[in-house]
Amino acid sequence: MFALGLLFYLGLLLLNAVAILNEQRFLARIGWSSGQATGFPDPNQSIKARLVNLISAVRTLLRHRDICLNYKHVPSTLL
Amino acid sequence: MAQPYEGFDLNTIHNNQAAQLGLQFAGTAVHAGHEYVEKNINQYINVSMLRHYFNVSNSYVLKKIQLLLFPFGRKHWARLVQRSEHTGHTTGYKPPREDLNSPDLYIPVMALITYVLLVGIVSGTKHMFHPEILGLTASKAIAVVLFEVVLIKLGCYLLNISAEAQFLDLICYCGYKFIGIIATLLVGVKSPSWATWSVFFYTNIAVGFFLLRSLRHIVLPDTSAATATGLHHRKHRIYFLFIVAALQLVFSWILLSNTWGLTDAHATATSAPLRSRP
Repeated sequence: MFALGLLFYLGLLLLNAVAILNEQRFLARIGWSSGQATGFPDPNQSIKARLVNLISAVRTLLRHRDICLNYKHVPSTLL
Repeated sequence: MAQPYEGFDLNTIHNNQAAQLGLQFAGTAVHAGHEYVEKNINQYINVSMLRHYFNVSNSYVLKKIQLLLFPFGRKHWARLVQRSEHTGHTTGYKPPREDLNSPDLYIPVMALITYVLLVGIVSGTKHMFHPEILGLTASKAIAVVLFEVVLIKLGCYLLNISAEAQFLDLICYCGYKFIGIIATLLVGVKSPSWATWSVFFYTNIAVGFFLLRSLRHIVLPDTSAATATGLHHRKHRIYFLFIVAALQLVFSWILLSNTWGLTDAHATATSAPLRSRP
């Protein structure tokens, strides 16, 4: 397996792993839900807050792709 | 002597109206084509930015390689700021030609190519050369550099380090480790394994130290300004710097691992027939 392809797989799988995390079932339970209002970034944000932001950003970005892939099973709330 | 194409003689071309028109037209066409190419390339890569990174001189390259291998004595690591001649405002950093501390892309690119070719040569000396090795090695080297850049970018995001760290700067800093790898490979061709290992550890510590001092200005921008971001982050940032420096060892080991596998294969492949020989 050549390494660039491996790196591509790694990025793809990690991004997907982040994208399928469920807000209510998983993230809210361990306290990683992105509840706070998004505004001008606070320079003294903790590392955890940045991680939560990153996860919610990735999920928002990939939601549309997942909707396209699952167009037969889209919940009506998302449409 | 008879000229077959007298109309295109260089001496008469200045007097020929049609030739003048043709030349002018060709000139504008070439210029337009050049502009078109520039514009379209500039959409994807900033060419003037790239020129800045390749603006090196012979003495810079020699001194930089020397600095990469022996970075411990140097005192000044801050990059020089370029000032505009008229207003005195800062207009970015000085190019590598004028500033030894400036990152450049020339050394990393050349070192990467040298590394790929050297791996080919080393595997050739073990009679294990295959053309595939070159492609696989290049792919591995690029993947390692990209992975390291992404890792540093992620760390910068998490630690709230301002985006002043240019993507190309990080590629430069990640590419400097190939100098140490080349040194290890060159020593490893003929030397015993303890010498190779000591060169490997020494060059990685040197490159790690170099990165520690160079990235310090990106990660810990200013001691006076750092108090605003809080001591909490400052501690984390120092840890981050040390982790990046220590990762050089891991990445170098990954990049060299296939050549060390080859030495083992060579030892078993050649010593077995030697032993069986009467």
